[in-house]
Amino acid sequence: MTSSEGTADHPLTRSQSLIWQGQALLPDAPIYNMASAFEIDAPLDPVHFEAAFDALTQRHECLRTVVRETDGVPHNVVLGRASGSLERHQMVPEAASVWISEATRARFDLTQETFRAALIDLGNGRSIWFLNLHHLVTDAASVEILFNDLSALYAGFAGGAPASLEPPVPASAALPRSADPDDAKAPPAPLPKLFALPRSGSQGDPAAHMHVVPLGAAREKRLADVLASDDFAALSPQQSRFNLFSTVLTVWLARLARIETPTIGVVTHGRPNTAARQAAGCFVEVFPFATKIAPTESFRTIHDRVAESAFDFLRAATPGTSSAEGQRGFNVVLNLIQSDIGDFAGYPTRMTWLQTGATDPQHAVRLNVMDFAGGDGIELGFLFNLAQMPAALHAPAAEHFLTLLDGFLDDPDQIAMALPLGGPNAQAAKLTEALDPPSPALDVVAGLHRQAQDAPTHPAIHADQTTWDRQTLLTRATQVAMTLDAHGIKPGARVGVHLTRTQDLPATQFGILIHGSTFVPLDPGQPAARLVRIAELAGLQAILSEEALEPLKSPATRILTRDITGTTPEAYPDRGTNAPAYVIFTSGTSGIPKGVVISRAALSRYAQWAHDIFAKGHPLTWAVHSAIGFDLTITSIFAPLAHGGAARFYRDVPGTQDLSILTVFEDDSVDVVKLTPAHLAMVVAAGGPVSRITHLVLGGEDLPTALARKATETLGSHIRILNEYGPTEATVGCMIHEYAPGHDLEPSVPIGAPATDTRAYVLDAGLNPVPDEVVGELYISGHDRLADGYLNDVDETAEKFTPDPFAPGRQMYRTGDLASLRADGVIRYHGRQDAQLSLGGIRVEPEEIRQAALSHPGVGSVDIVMTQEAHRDIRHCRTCGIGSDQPEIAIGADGDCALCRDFGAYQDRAAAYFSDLPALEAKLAEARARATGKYDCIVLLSGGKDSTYALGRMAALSDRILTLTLDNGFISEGAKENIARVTNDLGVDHRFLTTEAMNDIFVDSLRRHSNVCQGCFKTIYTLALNEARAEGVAMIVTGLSRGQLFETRLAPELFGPEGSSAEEIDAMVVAARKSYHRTKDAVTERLNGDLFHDDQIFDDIAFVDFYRYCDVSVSEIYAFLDEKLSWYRPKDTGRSTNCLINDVGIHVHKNRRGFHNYALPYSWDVRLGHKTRAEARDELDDEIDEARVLDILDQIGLPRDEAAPRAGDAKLACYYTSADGVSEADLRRHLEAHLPRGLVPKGLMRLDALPMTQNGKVDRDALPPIADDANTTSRAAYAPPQTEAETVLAEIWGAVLKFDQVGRDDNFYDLGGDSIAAIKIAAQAARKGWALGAADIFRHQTLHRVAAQLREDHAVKAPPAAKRAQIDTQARDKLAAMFGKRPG
Amino acid sequence: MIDQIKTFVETDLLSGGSIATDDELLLSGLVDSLGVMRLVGFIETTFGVQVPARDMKLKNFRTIAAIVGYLEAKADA
Repeated sequence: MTSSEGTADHPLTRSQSLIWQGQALLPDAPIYNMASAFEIDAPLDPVHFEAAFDALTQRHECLRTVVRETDGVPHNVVLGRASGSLERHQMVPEAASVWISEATRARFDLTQETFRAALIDLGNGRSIWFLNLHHLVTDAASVEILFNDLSALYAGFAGGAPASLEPPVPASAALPRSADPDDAKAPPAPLPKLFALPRSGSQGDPAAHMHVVPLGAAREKRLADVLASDDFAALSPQQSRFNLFSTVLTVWLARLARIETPTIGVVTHGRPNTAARQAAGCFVEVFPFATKIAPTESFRTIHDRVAESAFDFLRAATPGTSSAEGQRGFNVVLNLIQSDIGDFAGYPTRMTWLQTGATDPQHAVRLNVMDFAGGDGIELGFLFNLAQMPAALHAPAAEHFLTLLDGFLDDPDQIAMALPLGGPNAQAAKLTEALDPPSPALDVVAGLHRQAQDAPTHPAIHADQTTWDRQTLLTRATQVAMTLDAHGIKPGARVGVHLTRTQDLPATQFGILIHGSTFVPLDPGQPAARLVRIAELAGLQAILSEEALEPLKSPATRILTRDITGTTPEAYPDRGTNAPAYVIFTSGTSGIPKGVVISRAALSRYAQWAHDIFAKGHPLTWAVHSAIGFDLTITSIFAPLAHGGAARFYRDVPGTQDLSILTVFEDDSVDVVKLTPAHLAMVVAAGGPVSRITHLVLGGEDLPTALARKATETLGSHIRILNEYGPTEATVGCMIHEYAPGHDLEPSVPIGAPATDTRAYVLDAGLNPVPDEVVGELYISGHDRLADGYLNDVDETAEKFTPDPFAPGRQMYRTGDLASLRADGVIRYHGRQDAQLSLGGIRVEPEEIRQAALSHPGVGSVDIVMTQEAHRDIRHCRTCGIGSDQPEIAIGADGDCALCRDFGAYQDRAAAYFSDLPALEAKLAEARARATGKYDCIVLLSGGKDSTYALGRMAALSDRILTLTLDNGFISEGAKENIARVTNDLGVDHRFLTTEAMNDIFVDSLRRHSNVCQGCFKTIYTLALNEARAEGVAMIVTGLSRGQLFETRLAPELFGPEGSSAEEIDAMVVAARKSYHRTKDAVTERLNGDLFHDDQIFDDIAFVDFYRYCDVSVSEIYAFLDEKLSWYRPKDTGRSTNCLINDVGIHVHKNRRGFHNYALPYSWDVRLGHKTRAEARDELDDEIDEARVLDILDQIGLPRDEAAPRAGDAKLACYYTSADGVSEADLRRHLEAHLPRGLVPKGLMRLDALPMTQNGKVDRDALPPIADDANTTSRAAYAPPQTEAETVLAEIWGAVLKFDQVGRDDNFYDLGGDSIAAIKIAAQAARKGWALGAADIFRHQTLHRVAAQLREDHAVKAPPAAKRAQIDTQARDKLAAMFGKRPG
Repeated sequence: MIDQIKTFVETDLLSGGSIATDDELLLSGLVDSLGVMRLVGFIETTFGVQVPARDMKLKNFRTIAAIVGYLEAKADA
């Protein structure tokens, strides 16, 4: 192609395509401008300069290149003129700097220009050469090349002897190009978020700031020393530097974003040869570079691994191999920029790299390690995207980097994840403060006594029809203690409290304390089985219960409240405080409830604090409405009753949904309500203003700010909302933040500051306090504030309660919650450490998604869960039985799968490929003629029925057969016996082949293919070829069944309407085999030797598939085996296979790929009539002995976690409530604007309320399933296209984006569109005679708005000719991938 | 072996330039680390050897002669 103006035309490289796509998304942002200013200490001669510049543009193709679209596809056009202009200006330095700053941000019309240059005479004897290049045609290394050339050229013109420079190779010729951007599309990976802040701006905002930090002479010296040392020196200083900086950047990312396997994008200069290194042009490429970091690793080991993988990666990073897919996996980029500009034509020169204030919005940070000769030494330029990194964090982020760098340089052997970070640290100062003496706290029982003494008739309890004064409560409590005595219960016992919420509840709890025993709440709303389990675990001696409740099946003495009596309670002493106050059971990770033991001192100290803080020391009335097994309820009983307040009891009716919380607000007859956010959401949804209720204490879950705001709006502005945080292990609550409307604006209300006598630490893996805004794990310490531990679980106790390093003598509790500190010291909550979900192997913080959803003003409550998809509603093909869980198998409306449908169409054509036994005999005769040893052919024998039958028939044709079996170490004894008998029957030679590499091959095959069979197949093929070569055999016969042939050789493409002859198919199969044996894996590495050094072996030795020449039914095979051979069905493998490791493959495949690896081969067996559908389904329904699988995994050396289920088939679902009726589509759009695409949940569902557990937390098990196809895109309601342009465009969108129907309101992104789809759409539009730029699609998005941009263009170009050669390559690669796929 | 390496360096890395077997490759700036990686890839496929990361040291790759010496020492080991 040659365009009218251009002299040459060539496609974009991959890197260029990516840059073009990025710019197309943001046509007006200067994200790819590369501007430099060279300040030269001389007034330059403008005439000579212009001549030199002109020569420069002649010399460098990139300065004559623009980019234009043809058929919507961009390509380089080399013009006959410069692709930019050289301006001349005369201005004073101040004016020059203003002009430069504007010119730096200039927008390029890339179809006309790709650079802008100026010679500025500053009038003070100095000049500036300004050069702004668009990255599409150049890169950073080009700048130096252009500078040096221009300098030489200018010197030549100025000296009257024009320089004679060797003409450089044009960029377009220096490297091979690959223009096809049509990569397989992988979903973009969720990208890590630095620091704790919510993403502050929309995705896609390019505004950026470069924060520059010089390393400084001392640090540079240390860096140089370390890099010169044997341990860290690589091939070249650049490479050593790269290894070190990628190590530090990886650790930095791991620390600031809390991820185990950070991926950074690394920039390579892409100039592997001299020609390229002399050419200006766009050579750079960016590759993803991932390194997993273990928490206990040193810098050195991370560095060594980085160096190793950098080495592997650089070998693979040949020019042109970066891909769009790869670019989505990182948002932090490392670029080492070195520039060695000298004088300009003998005049001292200083170069400045000018900042445009914009960056590729996909990148949160680009770290430019800049080393400019003549500059100020090495500088770190952190280019931060402002939408993702607010300015206040730039300096701390850079400081953390330097801390880590220094840590590496000082002591490479220290643990990278545990090195204390510097920077602003609001908690650091507090840690060194002396501990306050414990504050006075009134014992709860002493408190009750004191209250009863002070004002005995003051009301303490309100229940249904009862009001008790303080004295009555105390009397009743004491009677409980006496009743326990009467039943022979000794102090120190654990006593169950199995009661509904009546006045008897506090009486019983206090009574057990007075008795000197420990109460264990048994919530009657919980399943009886769980309560029985708790009773057993707690070793309950008695259970206080009420008549209406079904007795628990427990040996503990059941005491009913109606039997509580006592004669002289006033004489009963408090039995003391030695016994724990209570044990509350929480659900343990192992599924066994875990008993948290709380001392009386801890309970009393908590009650004192709650009274002081929540009720401000006033005797207020609290509502008791929540489940008694949940420690939230402890507060509302003990804070008031020990300190002069009152409690109003709202009775629960076991077996019914507990809606007492609504009654509390309807009644409006208490002052304080403690509740969960889920409760509050219900209240806000149901209720109106209240007047008496003034204090809400929120606990149990994260409190969304929107909910708090809504609560004050709905219930009344007098409401105080106190957000309490606390695990059961830290005695109900240990942190507090009072919600401040107008001030607390982040999506969640913070958890604030520690309670009295409490300390809270946010620590890193090395237990160092993390700096502000960095997420760490929350630890709680304090005086009498923690649980004593877990009941009867010393190990778990020792793990979670460890010595407090900041307060000698105290314990601290590891909460497992994530938190961060605001600069003002307020602590935020970031969800559970173990809540991280894994999506396709990438860690996802559901909390981040939740926060993004909560930031929508109309959204109330949100829960994010991971659901497994595909496992429900699997449809099965009505003909072959294959399931819709198989990838790429669509089951049509007629109930048939695509394979069956297609097979029906090409079955007859496929028949031509098959032949008969005489043809096989001819092949054999040919092979015999070519044989140079004592065998005519080799027959591969697995020992199964198919290969045994094949051998039996072959033996009739020749008595010179060598039989080979792969002994992979797991062949069943039955199969071995069969093989021995059969080869003996037939009198053929037999060898078992084996290799030491077998375990490596298993591991590799399991990693690569999630099965073992593929590794074994390739092994036997390779070993058999070796044997054949050694024995002078020209033919190897396989026993692959016809089903296997279709599955592994005969792709439907081979039997298209145009058809391929049997010879053509054979040629394809051989080509595929060549590629197969050269595809690098454990087999090729370990076994290939020089076997495939050239193609000779493929000419010398042919593979012949026996069943290509023989059509026989399974029953005939069995009949033959029964009659002619002593072959018996194996009994020890549980299926028709002979291999004991097979189960491992099946298990791993199911886990990792989500479906059975035999489903496809069996479907072929059914399709070809060798099995019935029912037989196939039945055989797939196998039970795998997991313990045995794990044993084998250990034996072969595959880490168990690599065989564990992958969450790849899981999807994120978002459930939310919205009083304003925010639709799923609305919320999706909001999430898409605030989150990387990979983090946007696939399923969204609005609910009236999130279902609640008994404890008032979100009940995840009760969330309704979201259908796989429900609202996975937020498509607009269908509105038919109206204009011709819309109709045409709708058709094209449908074809490219794979939708049957596209309406005029559909949004390009909602249909899953991306840059490549946009390019395709533009190309198709052009073919239909409509001009449309891909950029228009990004800009206008909605179909009818994009259609409005369509212009008719009658200069329709002919569609490009089909690329036959390329199709063949693809077919070959596909076949190569199919080889050996069949499980044994 | 020495000729094959020399030819590769000259045609592929030096774009047709010429070099003597004891000319400095890296220190002279004729070839940089990216170029050496290509050379390693070539050596591995041509001579069927594996060059581990720990051997990627200047002393093994500074000249063509050094590379050959390294490969011979490796073959003897």
